Amino acid sequence: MTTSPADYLQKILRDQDLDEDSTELKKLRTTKEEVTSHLKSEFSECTPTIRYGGSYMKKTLIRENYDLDVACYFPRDDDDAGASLKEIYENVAQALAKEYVVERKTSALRLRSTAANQVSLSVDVVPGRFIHDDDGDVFLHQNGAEKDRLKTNLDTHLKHIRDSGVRPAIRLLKLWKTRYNVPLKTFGLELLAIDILEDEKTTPLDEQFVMVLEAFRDETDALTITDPANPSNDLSGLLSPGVRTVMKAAATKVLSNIEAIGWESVFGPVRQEEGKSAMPYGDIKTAAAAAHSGTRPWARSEPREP
Amino acid sequence: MSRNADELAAAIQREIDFAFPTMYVFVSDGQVVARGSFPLDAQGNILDRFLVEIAVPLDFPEHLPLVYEVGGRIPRDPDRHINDSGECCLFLPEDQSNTWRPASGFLGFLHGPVLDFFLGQLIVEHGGGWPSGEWQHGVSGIVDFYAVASKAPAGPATLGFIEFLAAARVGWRDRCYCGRSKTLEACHAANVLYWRARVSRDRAAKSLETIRAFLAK
Repeated sequence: MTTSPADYLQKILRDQDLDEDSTELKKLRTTKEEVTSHLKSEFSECTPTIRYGGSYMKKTLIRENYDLDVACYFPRDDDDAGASLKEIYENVAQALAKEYVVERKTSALRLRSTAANQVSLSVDVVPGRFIHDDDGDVFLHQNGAEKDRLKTNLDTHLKHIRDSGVRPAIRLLKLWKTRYNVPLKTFGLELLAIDILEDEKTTPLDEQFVMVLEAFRDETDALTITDPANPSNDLSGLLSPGVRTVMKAAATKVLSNIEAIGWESVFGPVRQEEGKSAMPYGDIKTAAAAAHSGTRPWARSEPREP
Repeated sequence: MSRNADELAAAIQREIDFAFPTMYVFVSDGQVVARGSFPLDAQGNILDRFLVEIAVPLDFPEHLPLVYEVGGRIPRDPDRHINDSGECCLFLPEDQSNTWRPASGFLGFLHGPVLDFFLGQLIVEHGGGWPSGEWQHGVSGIVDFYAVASKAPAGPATLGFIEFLAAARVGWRDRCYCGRSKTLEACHAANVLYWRARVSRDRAAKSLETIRAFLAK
């Protein structure tokens, strides 16, 4: 590799940029508008605040794994969407189920299309209720968790990430998490990275990346995560023993690859220039079919009743 | 052959290191796990990636690994050949000989049925059908497989065919399973020999038991 590691990583990050007028983001924004319109129609008696959250607002989107978080927060003193947080969560889920296939996550509702292939729309709706009238603090329901509610603040999180000074490192680590299938939630990864790189904001990107991975490899059991919006939130579930084991293994693998093979082994070559076709075939289906060697899948279980 | 989990993990890591750099192998609670993002390579072009976790048994390749799609990308739907747990039904076990040879090792397993499975998923996501077709769900798929293998009309001939595959000793002078008035020796002997080399007696016996139990319902 003739470019420096930092330059290589900057190019990898540029590969992961998504322009505001890109097809992907246009599609996400359209879906968000549709979801917003639908929720406002379903909850016309209340006045939910529906806004963007997540990596779109934190400016940490990566092309390889992007989605849109849509916060749907109801007023503090309005029970029309539900008397309890759980009711709000379920009522929003049921409202969305009229138009989408809804997958219930801990606090979010992941939307899929109703078409036969049920493609993920890459949109997560997070229902909640404001605690006060003016400071942005909200309670979220936690589906299936030990503690059934969580207090948080979207603006605090967005500010913490946007103003961290290490957004490129965060994006790179998100790419690492995606490529190496690390089960640590993105939120936890962001907070860990900011914490580990607190005094390293001007350090070159490759060194920042290595620093974080070395912490994951060498200090796995000592890592802790604190919620900047609510330090009393117990986020220990984000770093379960299973997650720590995989983080350590994935970090060890990448650090060893860097040493033994070089930086390009981590994220592969920089993508082709725009306008050049990377595939000898016209579309993905044709390319995939050409590479297929004939295995026929089987489903052990019977099809579900319609 | 069962091995120590650490030895197996190290061996598999060495095997896949260069071909699958985004996959890593470790031991968790005594289980060997290969995890990472699985690249769909079409002649050097990476079309997409799926997030996978593969549990490798200590007696691999005697027993097959269990492959899980852990990214939640594939809807948990039997029509997508995936269980609620995310376990992927890569192929019909009876069809293994057409799909993967144990001698090709874990690398061959990834390059063969695992790659095919996820390529198929990608095509379905883009609105296409499974490239080489798919076996029917459950017992029907097993019956279809043997019906095709038997080269005889589906029905009693299929069960007769499986009985020959499951038999400890084949009665070559017995009447052929296809129903014609010929001995097996003079009729479909070559076919029985072919498939006895590819489907183990244990597997055939298990298939027979499964089909009979289903028919008895």
